[in-house]
Amino acid sequence: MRPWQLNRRVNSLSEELADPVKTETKIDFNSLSEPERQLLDKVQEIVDKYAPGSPPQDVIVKNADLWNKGLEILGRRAMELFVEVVPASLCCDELEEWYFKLYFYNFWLDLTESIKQLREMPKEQHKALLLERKEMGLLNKVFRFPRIQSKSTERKVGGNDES
Amino acid sequence: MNNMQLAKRVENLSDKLKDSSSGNLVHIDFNSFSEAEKLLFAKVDEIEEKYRENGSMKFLAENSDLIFKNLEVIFRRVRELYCYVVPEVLGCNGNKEIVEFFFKLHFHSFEADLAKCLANVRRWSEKDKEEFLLDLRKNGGFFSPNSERF
Repeated sequence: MRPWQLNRRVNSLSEELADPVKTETKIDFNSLSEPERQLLDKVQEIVDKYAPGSPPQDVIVKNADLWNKGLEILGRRAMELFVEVVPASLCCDELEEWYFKLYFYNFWLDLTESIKQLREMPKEQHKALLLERKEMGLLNKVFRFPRIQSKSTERKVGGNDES
Repeated sequence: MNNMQLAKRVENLSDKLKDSSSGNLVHIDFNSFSEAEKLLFAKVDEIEEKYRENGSMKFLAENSDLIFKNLEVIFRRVRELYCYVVPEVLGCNGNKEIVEFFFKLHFHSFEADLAKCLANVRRWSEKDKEEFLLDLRKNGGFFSPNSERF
């Protein structure tokens, strides 16, 4: 089967898989470790106590360690799953996996640097930035950052052999 | 509680969470998948089973559309989970909207750059790939907090 034939067959399967009921992707709670489950159960207890509303700020502050650790667990677990599954389903060999790591590492550093800058911003500047993005209709739009590469490093960093 | 005290308390919880089983990868809740997706997984399981019995590459090739779709579904779900959880976590202190904006921006660039890079790599000759890999192994293509960024 040629690649275009395979593509066509894979795409035609998309129609069969189209489901009118959108299901959310959730982590299987049982795949977390026992101490992680205990911690998340404690957080859930607090959330349930004030449901359907949110827990008051003083309760959140009092339990900030549990709250932050719970978030850290979910973030770390989602990250682990992503870096394990995505290269396994996208990359064909060791070299492609290396490029995945390279680009993901840069994405993560760039993102954390942006977040750090955001957190260091005075509240007023932060508000103005958000307002500007909203007014420009940019909150739901994305664009690609231009990459400036020297000729000598072009192939190494981008797998680019077009030059 | 100031930031330092909070960081210390969160760090203390890390010790309590140390567990030999926590090295396992988390799974996606099977009930998250639609009926059609579950059906697809069942079909691919059958294909795997039959392939183990007959070892026929032809049989595998004939069913490659189902196998690739299966990978695509898993990839899409894991990506969806990641793109939901990470901005929620990073934006937990009340600035979710703007964090989400930066997340989308950087993530889009990452995906676009990676897709372009993989398309280029797939055009390289096997000899070029081998040479490059050899070079990487020799010079250490490591990733650490001190690695140089491009």
